[in-house]
Amino acid sequence: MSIQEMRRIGGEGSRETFELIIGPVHMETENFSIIVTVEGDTVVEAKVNAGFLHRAFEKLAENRTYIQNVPLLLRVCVPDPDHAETAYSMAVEQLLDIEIPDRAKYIRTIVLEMARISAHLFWTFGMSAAVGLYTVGQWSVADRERFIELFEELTGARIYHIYNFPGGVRYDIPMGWTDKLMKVVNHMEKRLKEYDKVFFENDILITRSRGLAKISTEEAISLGVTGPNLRATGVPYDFRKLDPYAAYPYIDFEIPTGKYGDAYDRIMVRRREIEISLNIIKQAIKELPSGPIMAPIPHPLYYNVPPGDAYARVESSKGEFGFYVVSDGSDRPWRVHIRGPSFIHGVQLLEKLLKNVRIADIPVVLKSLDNCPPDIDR
Amino acid sequence: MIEEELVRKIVEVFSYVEAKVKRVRRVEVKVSREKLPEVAKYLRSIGFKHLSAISCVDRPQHGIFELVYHLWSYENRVHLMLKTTIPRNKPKYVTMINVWPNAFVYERDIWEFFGIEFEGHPDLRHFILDYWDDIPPLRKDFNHLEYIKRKYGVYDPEKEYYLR
Repeated sequence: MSIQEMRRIGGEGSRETFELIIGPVHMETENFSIIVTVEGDTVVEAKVNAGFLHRAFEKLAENRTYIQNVPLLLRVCVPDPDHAETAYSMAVEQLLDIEIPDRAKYIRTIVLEMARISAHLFWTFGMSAAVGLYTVGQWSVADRERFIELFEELTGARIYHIYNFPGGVRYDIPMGWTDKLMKVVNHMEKRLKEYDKVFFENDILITRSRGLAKISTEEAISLGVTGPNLRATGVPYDFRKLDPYAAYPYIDFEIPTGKYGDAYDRIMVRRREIEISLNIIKQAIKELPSGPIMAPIPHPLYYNVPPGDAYARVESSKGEFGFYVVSDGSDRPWRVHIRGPSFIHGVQLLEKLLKNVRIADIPVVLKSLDNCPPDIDR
Repeated sequence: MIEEELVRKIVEVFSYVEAKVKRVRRVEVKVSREKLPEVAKYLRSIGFKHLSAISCVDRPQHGIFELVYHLWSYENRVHLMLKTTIPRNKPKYVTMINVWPNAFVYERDIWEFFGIEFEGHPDLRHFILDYWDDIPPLRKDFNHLEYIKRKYGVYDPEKEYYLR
């Protein structure tokens, strides 16, 4: 993290190069800045400058008990906290060697898919603003509110739910909640067709994002890219299928892929993921088993976790979200390492993709990667 | 089981590694620091193309730093933890950028938070903690509460300001 001033670097006449600083206070970059060297209005080189949101989660987690860490570590990625808390819970479950009950698995699946939809709807707002089609952004944020209201009824909180705990979920589904959820799901399905007409099939979006910032599958895998950004290059790699967790092995769903790996493919993969998540929620509600929602866990005062280490990952709305937890046998973790997807997408991949892009297209590239700066800084 | 096959295969090629199956889709391989680069190249060639992360664990009671390379194979669907240790009093290691290009960001992160130098890394500079003036903060001997007192002072309720 450092704040600098814009300066002229060299060149003469039309080949003059400048250093341009975008962020950290900017709607598109969200609290991190990019220092781009521009020649005319084409980017020659981009350097990511992060650290404005560093909150030292990994150090703080070492000084808190395993249970106290749940409300702390879910704050890593602000728009998508459920996946963080589930990944941490899964790592602790691996260390404690407990299997969560079936009902908890299905409830987790529903909650995670709701979180994915609400994160994608929030991203739709940013994406629409990046290309200047603000209308659909207002719609999608209003539709996200419907999911947040359901979250509030289920968990008691709007954004940070603290709902998935090591061992299961905290509360059972209230009476009549699934009917309300089905109503919202049906509403959302109709709504997506309107989104298509206004935004996803809009000529402005297609001309601005088709062929922009392409990446091949080989390059993407060698850079560690995951999630929709990898699937847009044409491979169906999804950790919900590859490294299954919660109730995903029992649910039938397809994985959307792109073809060219450009910005428009990344946008459309996310668009189709919303539809598939709605289908997953429908199936999970239909097959929801009865039974307990929490596995037997140690007493909170004697919550000693056996020594060892575990790595658990989930497929968050942005990519692979993993936690590496090391235990020394006490009630506090010895080390917690957070692997956020944006640590790759927002730094190395972004620096690579921004080359030879025009200044006006920087927000489109940035938003098509669905970058989450808080999980770069941690 | 694919995990056991994989462990057998790795032990056959490299007799000096310690490999075991931890649980479903989780394999652990321990190797000494001199031998790690060749094992890493071999693992890359048999399908471990995705480097999820590099974690560093500080263990001052043993005088070591533990480096854990989290690898994932898309073909075999196995997560492999490649572990090695480096001495705490000589925190130096070689870079793995030529094997997995995204080691670049993780090594810079470890250099910043643990103070381990990676030889051959082109750009070891501060990324998140610019102007940091103390020992690397994720080491176990760094006490964040004392650092705050030293840096920002202690609050005096009578005078209502911070005393240095």
